[in-house]
Amino acid sequence: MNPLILLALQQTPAIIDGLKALFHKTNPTAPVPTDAEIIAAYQSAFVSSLAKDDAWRAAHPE
Amino acid sequence: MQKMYARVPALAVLLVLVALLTTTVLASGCAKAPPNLSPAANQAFVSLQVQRALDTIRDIAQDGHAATPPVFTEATTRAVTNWHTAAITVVHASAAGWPAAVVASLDQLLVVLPPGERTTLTPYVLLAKTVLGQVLR
Repeated sequence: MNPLILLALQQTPAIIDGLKALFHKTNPTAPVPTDAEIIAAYQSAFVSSLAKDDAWRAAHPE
Repeated sequence: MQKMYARVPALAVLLVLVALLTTTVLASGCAKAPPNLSPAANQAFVSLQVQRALDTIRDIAQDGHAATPPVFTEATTRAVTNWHTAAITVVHASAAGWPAAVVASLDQLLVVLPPGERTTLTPYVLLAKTVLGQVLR
């Protein structure tokens, strides 16, 4: 199969999540995230993203 | 001529993929920060939007490298992965001038890539620049 088609298939979950976010209607009564929750979410995303880079380098040594 | 027509489906898939990812990254990347955030939380919110856009570039490179046959070479994927590590670390440090540093690093990344792979990755780099521009308005 064409590698670009495979790549498109691999990105499908991200595309679906994004489309959900795009058409998600904001609920005015939904709780607003706190400062601590936002900071914690970013720290978690930062650490896991660095870990993914490290994992790739470990799997592909120079 | 036939060779050119043979590439049309691949180019169509690439265009659709770029369009869909543009929509999805912009949908999440240009979300407005909740009101009444502290400066630290607001910075974390902005940093998270930018990091998601930078993560997309890294993910495209790594997933493309894992495809059979690979869309990106190992050398290109390594360059993108190393760039990504440096870029998100700069975003995380939030030192003065970090947005300009990240934009410059995106430009530099494209310069070091082979022309064919640069063409494939350029839309995602432009997308990240768009997200940066939006969240920093």
